[in-house]
Amino acid sequence: MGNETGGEQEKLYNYLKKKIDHLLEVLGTKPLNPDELDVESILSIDPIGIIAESFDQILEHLNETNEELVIAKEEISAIFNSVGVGILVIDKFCRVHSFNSRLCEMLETDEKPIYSLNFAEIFPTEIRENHCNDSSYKENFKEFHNVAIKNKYFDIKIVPLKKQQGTTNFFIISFNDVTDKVHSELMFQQIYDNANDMIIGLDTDGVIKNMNSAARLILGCSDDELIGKNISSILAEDYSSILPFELKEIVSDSCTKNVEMKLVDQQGSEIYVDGSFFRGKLNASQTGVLGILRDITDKKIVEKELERERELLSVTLKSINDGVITVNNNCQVIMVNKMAEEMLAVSSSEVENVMLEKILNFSEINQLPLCRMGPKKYFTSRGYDPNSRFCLTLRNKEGSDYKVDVFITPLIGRNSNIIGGVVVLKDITDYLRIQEELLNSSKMEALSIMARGIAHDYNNILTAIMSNVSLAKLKAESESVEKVLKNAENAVINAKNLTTQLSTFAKEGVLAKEVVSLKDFLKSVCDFTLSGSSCYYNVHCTKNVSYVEVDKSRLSQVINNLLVNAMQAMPDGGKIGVDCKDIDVDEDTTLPLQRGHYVKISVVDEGKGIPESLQNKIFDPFFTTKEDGTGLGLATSYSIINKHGGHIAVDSIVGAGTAFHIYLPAKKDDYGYRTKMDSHKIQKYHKKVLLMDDNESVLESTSELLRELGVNVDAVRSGEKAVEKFAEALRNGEPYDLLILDITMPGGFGGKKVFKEITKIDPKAKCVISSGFTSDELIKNYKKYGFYSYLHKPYALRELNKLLMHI
Amino acid sequence: MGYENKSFDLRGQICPSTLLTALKKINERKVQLKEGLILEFKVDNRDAINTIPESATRMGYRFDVEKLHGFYKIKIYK
Repeated sequence: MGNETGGEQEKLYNYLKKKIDHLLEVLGTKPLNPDELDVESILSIDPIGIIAESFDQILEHLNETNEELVIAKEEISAIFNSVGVGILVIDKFCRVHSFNSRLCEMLETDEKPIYSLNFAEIFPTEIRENHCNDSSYKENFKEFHNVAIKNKYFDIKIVPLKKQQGTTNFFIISFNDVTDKVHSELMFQQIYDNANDMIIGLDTDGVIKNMNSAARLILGCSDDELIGKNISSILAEDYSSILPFELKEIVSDSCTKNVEMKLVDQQGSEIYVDGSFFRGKLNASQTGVLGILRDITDKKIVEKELERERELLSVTLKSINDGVITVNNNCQVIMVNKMAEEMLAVSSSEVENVMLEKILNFSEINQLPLCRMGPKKYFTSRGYDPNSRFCLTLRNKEGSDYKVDVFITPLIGRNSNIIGGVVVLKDITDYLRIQEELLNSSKMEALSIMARGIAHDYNNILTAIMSNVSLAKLKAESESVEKVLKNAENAVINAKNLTTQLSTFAKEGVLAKEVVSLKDFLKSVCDFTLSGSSCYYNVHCTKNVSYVEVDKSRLSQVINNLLVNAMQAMPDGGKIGVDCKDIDVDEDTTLPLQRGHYVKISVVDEGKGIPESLQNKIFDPFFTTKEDGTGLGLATSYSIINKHGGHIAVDSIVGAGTAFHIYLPAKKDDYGYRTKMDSHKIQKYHKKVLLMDDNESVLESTSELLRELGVNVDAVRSGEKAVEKFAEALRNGEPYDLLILDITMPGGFGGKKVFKEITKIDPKAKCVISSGFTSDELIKNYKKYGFYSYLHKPYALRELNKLLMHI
Repeated sequence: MGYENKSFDLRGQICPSTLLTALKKINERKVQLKEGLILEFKVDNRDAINTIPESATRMGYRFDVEKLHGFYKIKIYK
């Protein structure tokens, strides 16, 4: 009993100890040491009870922990699903472990497909290579930006999920949908790159930080040539610029500045731009000023062209000598040019929009159909003729009438419709006056032709008289008779002079120059002009004053004119002095004369004088202060003297008198001057002369004269007869020594033609051409035509004498 | 009950085991422990330094082991 009992007790005790150890192990701790628990202790301390209660606590603890876990899990799940990013959890073999609903939304798929997603497929290479199967992937997370997946863009972050022991079994990948951001960036980039306008970014000091391709193109710079340079380096000097302080203002006040600037590109050409500067981001971190500028150079060029054209138009209108008025469709004035302003005595500002008829100051009651009907109706009416002009009489502000020529034309708009009218006024007062003058001058022309005719006839008559008187003088038997006849001769000479002047009246033309001794010449003109006037005259020439080579009749016309003027200046009579002296003209002279020797003829009166303001006008044609003057006298005189290579000038003091000075080139010697001496030696010549003239009395008297001189004369009255006679004489061996041929013959067979025929027969024939007109071309250039000499009708004895002398 | 330390001196005790004794104490005072009681056990048994904390941890307690002169002080608390 004892041993068995003891033995069994021991068995039990050992069993208990063993189980307690078992339980302790389950508890997670070490088993007891052998001496730690005896039977007594077992019974007193109740180890199994303790352990049981400990288990109780353990379970309780576990439950609590579980609850916490559940809550945590729920929290995580809530976060997981509600977070704005897509989350994908993969294991280290790239298999999908879990993901949130957001990811599904982002990738636009349902849940199921996600599981079957092949990591490798979706993610770009770089990620794949880095992470897939990368078990040695370390601590740090990695970020990838703008990854393109399925037409969207994501920012991806990969974070390893570490367990407590430090190993990584999972990776958490977060997806952030940045598609919108990327798109707007792309859009911005597209705009930036493709814009035609320049986009430049500046910092507040004006340094260029960035620019788009358009800016580079416009400024002609290569990629980054201008980056870092100040904007002032591309601004043209004379244009207003944005200064740095304004840039600061743009940034600080966030205001926008509109600008128009002139830039200079890299090639140095000028570019006009307009646009605006505003506050903007230069890059992620820096704020500055952005400018968007448009190249308006072309527009500016067009603007400048337009301006120039406007200017041109304006200037043209201003300089048109006619008045131009434009009216709108209501016949209101739109524009008047300067000339119109002057003509109508208005100013352009006061006539704007005024009715046209109000500014046209008609002299009589008058109305323009343009105003009555209005432009639209007028220009389309039947009565309108685009080429018609009509005349109106207007009254100027001084109250005198003046005539204008009116020309009206429609103003056509851009769409070819009538938008108004243009009225052109031409002041024709002067034109009409000139027409009148021309009429007068043609009257004068007619008169002069008539005068020529009369002169011609008179010359013939005078020739007859002259010849007869000369003859009579020769045959005079007493001195007293001779003297009387001499007077008669002089009278005829004077008459001849008169007719000469008459015939050359108002006729320009060739000068028939001859050497003249001024003293006699001047005296004779004075005699003629001033005889019978209330003025007395005094002709004074210095001793040995030079001769002049002049057209006598013309010069006498001039002197005559001056004398007449002098007379008219002294209506109550007075002294007229005619002085003549030599004068040398050197280089310093103010006279319009070449250097040389001249003769100065002065005609001086003591009349009322000519005011200084008029002194340079008196030689103008049509200028006259006389009521019935033609204004041609001095003009013609001036022209005549000019043609002689001389000059005529005036010197006058109002109230004291007037002096006209004529300068004529002096003749060095008297060669050519036919003195009276020569011609007084009358001889008998045994010559044969053929005389041709259409005038019977001329023929008769001249023949007589010649016979007196011992000449054998044959007189013919026609050209044909002349040729006939000449040929006959030649045949008979008795040729004529001299032929005197009148230029004008009836039937046209005049001197010239006869000469031609005669020289055909005998080239050496001596022919003298004769005419009543001193200015005849043939007379002047007789030598050129082959004539031996010339004669003026009426023939003076001494001239004939001289001629015969020299054959 | 408040924050107090209940200290037990288990030095020199071999039998019954220090572990079981400690566990018993812990079980008896599980309510107070929840409320903030801190139990201290002074032991010189080297095994006990491991076994007590191990068990207590499983049961959801935290522990501190302090080595002092010739003995250890184990703190158990919730």
